[in-house]
Amino acid sequence: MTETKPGVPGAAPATVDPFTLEIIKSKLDRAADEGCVALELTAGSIPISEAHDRVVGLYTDDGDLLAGGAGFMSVLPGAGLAIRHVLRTYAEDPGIGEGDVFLVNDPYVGAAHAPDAMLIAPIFVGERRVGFACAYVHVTDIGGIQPGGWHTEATESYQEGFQTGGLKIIEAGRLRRDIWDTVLRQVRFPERVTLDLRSIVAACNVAQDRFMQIFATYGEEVTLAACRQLVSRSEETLRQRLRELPDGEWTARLYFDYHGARGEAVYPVVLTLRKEADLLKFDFAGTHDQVDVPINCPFGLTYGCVIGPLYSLLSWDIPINEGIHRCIEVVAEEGTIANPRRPGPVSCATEAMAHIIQNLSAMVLSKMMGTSQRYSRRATAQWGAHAAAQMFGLDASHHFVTEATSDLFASSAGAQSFQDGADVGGEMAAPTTRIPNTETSELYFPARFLYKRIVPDSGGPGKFRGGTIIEWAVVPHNTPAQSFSANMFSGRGVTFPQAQGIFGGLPGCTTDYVQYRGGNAAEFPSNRRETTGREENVRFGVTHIGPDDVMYLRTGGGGGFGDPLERDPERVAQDVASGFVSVPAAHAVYGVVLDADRHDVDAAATAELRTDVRRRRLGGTEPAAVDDHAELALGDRPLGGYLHVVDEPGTGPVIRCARCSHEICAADADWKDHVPHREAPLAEAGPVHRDTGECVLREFYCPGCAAMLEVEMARPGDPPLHDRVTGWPA
Amino acid sequence: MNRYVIGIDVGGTGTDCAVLDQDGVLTVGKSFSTPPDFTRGMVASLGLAAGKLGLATEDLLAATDVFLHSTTVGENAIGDGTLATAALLLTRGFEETLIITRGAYGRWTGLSHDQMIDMIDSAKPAPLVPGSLTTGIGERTDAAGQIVRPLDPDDIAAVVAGLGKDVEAVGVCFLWSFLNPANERAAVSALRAARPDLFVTASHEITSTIGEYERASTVALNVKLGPFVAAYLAKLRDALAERGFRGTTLLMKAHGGAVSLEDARRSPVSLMESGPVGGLVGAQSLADQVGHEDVIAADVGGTTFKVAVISGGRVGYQREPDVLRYHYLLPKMDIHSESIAGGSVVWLEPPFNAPRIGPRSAGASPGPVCFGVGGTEVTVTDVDVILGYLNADFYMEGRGRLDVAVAGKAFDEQIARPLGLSRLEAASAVYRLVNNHIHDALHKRTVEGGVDAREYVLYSYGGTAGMHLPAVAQELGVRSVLIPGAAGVQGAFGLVTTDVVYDEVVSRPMTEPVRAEDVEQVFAELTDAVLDRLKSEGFAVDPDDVDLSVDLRYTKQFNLVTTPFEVSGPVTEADLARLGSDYEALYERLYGPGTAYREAGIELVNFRVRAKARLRRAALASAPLNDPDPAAALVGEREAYFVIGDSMRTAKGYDVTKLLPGNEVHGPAILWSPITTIVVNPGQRARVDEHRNIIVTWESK
Repeated sequence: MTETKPGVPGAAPATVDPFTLEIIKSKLDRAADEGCVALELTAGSIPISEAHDRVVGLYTDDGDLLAGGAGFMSVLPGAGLAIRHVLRTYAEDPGIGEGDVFLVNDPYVGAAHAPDAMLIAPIFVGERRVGFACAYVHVTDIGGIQPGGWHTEATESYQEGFQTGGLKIIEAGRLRRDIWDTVLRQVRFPERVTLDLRSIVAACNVAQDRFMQIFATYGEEVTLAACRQLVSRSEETLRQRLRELPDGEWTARLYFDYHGARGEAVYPVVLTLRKEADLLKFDFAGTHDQVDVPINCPFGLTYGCVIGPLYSLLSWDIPINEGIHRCIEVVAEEGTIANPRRPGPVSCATEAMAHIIQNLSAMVLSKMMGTSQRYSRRATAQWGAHAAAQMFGLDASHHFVTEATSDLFASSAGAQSFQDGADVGGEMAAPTTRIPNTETSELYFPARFLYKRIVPDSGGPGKFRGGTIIEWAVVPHNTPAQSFSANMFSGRGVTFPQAQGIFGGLPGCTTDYVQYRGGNAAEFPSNRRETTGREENVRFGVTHIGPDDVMYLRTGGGGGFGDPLERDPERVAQDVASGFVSVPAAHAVYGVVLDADRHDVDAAATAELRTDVRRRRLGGTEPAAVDDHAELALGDRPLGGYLHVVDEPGTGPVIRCARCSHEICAADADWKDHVPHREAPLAEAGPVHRDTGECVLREFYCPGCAAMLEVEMARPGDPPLHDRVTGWPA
Repeated sequence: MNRYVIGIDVGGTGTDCAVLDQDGVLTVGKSFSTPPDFTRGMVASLGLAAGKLGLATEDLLAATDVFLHSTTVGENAIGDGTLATAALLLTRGFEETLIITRGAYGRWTGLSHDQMIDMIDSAKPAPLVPGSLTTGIGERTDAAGQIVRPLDPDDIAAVVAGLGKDVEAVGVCFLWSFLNPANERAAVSALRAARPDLFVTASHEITSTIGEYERASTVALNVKLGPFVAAYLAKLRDALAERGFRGTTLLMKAHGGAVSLEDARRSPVSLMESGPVGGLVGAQSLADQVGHEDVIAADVGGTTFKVAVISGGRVGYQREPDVLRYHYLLPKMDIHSESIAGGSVVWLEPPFNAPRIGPRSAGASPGPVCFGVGGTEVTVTDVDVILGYLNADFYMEGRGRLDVAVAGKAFDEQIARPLGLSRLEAASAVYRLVNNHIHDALHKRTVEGGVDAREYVLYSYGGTAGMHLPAVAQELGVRSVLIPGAAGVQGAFGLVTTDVVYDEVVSRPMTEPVRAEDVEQVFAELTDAVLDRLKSEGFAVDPDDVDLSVDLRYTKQFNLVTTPFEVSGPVTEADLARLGSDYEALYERLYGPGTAYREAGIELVNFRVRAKARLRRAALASAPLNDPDPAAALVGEREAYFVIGDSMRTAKGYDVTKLLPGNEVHGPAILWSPITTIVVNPGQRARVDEHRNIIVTWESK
């Protein structure tokens, strides 16, 4: 069998009329959307149905993305790589024919991790292959050393369950019984995995059907021409937007703090964005070498996680398809945790590195957008982190049960240029997640929640506050004694916050994992303060939860935007009333003094306190007096936050503080070398951080008015990060 | 003296009245809504209908036995924020349930696909009850319904003591109260004893399904609305009494049936969307009368497009309803809304001038350009005017303005010229785009409902529907289109055809194998409660009118399938076996052959009882059929665009009010009534039936 070649016969129309194009665009979206519906209605796995951990995409015959349903957007680019792998590898043998469906879940060819089982189905019109439908869900189990798909104990990918780079599980419309049975023999809970796989087949069928109906209505040539035109339009629109932005270089850094069976380690992940004309080049130079714990991020996922946040931040109004990807280059050296070599273990990357990379991408993009009058409004601080566990044990009838806590999606939004980050607002690049009701969790797993609540002071302080997150604690309940264990598979962010603030904002709180041995569940503690017991901290890996133990988790807060001293004191007072900010933090971090009943702001005392803090920032020098409520006049060359470039007669362009007009340095100098700065303990970002001294805040202040210009989060000794604008748009 | 049943539907812009007499003759009146005092609009529409009957309003009311009502007042109150100051009591440790909103769920609910993906310009709506008015109470029930921690009476006493003077209502929602409401009961009885002036709701009283977030949100909506709706209902009762009404007043509830005034007062949240639900009940009654088992009901008005599916005479329950992005969970008829309608703005998106329809709507104000009331942006209605469909002589009984020239000029400037097209080329292309979006929205519903469109009749109502749906229907491949005789007051029509219905649900999750006596006990308790309530309110129920159903799923699936459960006595093992196989048959019908998978195990989650007390009322009168020739109703000819055949044609125009039952009109033709316009394409045929419904058919391919 030979591969049907794509391509356009000479008679193809050069352009499709705008109305037909719009109809075909909306029908492509519907196809992906209806695929998602089919998937959701019939899937058997809670991550899909409750958390919408899934995606459906339509691709061209070359593996170019055409349309993707709302879901885990960061998987869409990697799926294109997987389709290309299938095309490259299996076109001749065993061939890609009509009615075939390939299972692909090898993270080294484009799947996010092995449990994200991806089905790839070619679409034929007559004899001609015109595209692919692709869908994945996180299936209930995929075999390997631990149930659920996250193998925290793996040291190489061979331990991470069943994996295939392409297995024809349906051939010419017929299910291959032998192959299907073989796959199901590799997994725990084959009945539920069967439901999961069937639902993916249904999703592919629906998307395929809808796609073929478009061809039936508009004909092959018009439909293919429309697809090409939609892709080139997205590309052209994004390139045009990029030309409106300055050229330059922006860098962000986060740290993966590993606390597991192989000790303690810190892996820096560094991402530099170089933007030139209409191209974005992302480079992971400076990122840690790959490790033998399963947090390495396979390249397909790295690629997708760089792009995922961009869909929402920079191309929010541009149809999502390959055209966007064409403006992006991602470089990650092989052998690093952002592009490991087989057999580097990778199964937990989706809960940790994926998130770190998304946040780095969001940060460099936001810093770039901060330098544009037109786009700075859309900059965001980083989004809060996961904290997740796979619980397993026996139910009251001694059946083995296991459930991933989908509460992991209780992370939160970074603050933005005009609003606070949404409290418990979810994932940046996965717009449709949700967390289960406590009652649903308790229905399916023999545990009782003691509390699930918002943590005060968890949102990164700033002029706009990062979203707050939750803490929750469970105890075994109606389960045979000693049967209960938990596998912490996203453990990081305990000593290094995972969401930095931006333009002077502070990081959101650290995550936490505590096992209270011999805890006080009988006293019904309703928050962490009331919870007592002998504390242990298994953060990555399996721990046993005894009948008297309390298991506690906390997700990570979103970063803040802008100097916390600029936050409207009334908003701080409202946050105190709502329980989002504590009175001590209002005082110490925001410089806000409330009156005795904690309701009203003492304006005079607040102004005095804020001036005091600013004076301290300048080492005793009196800060320039500035009206906090005045709009910043940043002009057409902003540098993000409070700085901008202005022309100085005689000396050429210089960097000034837009708040107080203080001149800082020449425009081509690294401004961080010319301002007062200070390494502060992490604890100054708020009382919820676990401050071990490993991570410090590096604060940079305006020499004139003491505005906090930027806060880096770093290991002491790591070099400061410099951003540069190299060319302003005409 | 004739006796009457009256239905009044108060909508956002219009207030509609339908009066049914003892011979089944229907009289209607239509007026504008008059917020904030809605009674003025009601009295006006009532006056119009009374006038048509040659009666004074007081005489009509004196001769009326039942007054039925649906209202959008709840939605309006939430939109305006004119809600009560309410406090909320939740299980301690879970106080922020309404702020957490199950994570991002509260952010993306109610957003379009494009809005969802934009993580910057989207946020959660403000919590219904702020953190400062929410209190955690020491208490706990577990997943088995066992009380792990009894209610701490000191906590309730402290709440009572600390309630501010401004607090008018208190809601209570504790974990697992749907399994064992003891702690909730204790809390509300203490509250009611201490503060009888407060409006108090416990979750188990209005929503007994699993999911504490949705229950808490439902309770919060209920107590925020409670005092306001109670005042509204009192005012309604007084207004009717003042005008001599001595009969029974009933309210339409979202589950699709009327309930007592008292019941409506207790659960105002259940009045949400009662207007559209009334329209759907009307469609159901009509389908029953005409003999259609399977219907897609579509309402395309000025601002929204609503669609629902009736299969085998039944309408499903909506899974995740929200009102203005706030979740609630109650038995509610499954109606979906899309933002495409007559007021949708037609625009070109830069940089490629890509044509777009909506989602922004010009609504009634500033309205379409052709209305001449301030609208400057071209809308779907303007395109319909340009294509020759609307007729100023009929529109709003000749009271409305339709300025074709101004609409055409605006359309040229905003759409045609930038695209380098003629007015007609561009307008017909926009029309096809609108039809495409309507088609795809209907298609999505049929996919979700497992519907084979070829078996269904499309019911089309609302002002914009008749100009688009007959053509869309032919493409969708349904059997025919029916435009109800009362299409302009469909909601009010639904009211006069409804019955008293109580519909209760309780979650009792059980995994197979299930014991028959457990199921029997759940149903016996629930049925007794429903029947006792009906009896105490003076309604009699025929045993045949009590329907049981169960929501089932494969173990740990999310999606539930409501499966009818018929039993002839106490529940037996055989009944349960049949329930399982009925579920699987239904599942395969919905999701395709081969999708059922018994090995995954089946879970019974929600148990439902729906009991109907029939209201005594005449059947709709039917008229004798006349000759097919419609010539007597012909009002002239005009040029108009027809999408089937894609050309301008000379169309005959007819006055719907002069068409007689039995008349047949062949396309190309346009039918006008004061409330709707029907475009009959070439090859299509419109027939008036004995109830003045218009049925459009075509030669199927």
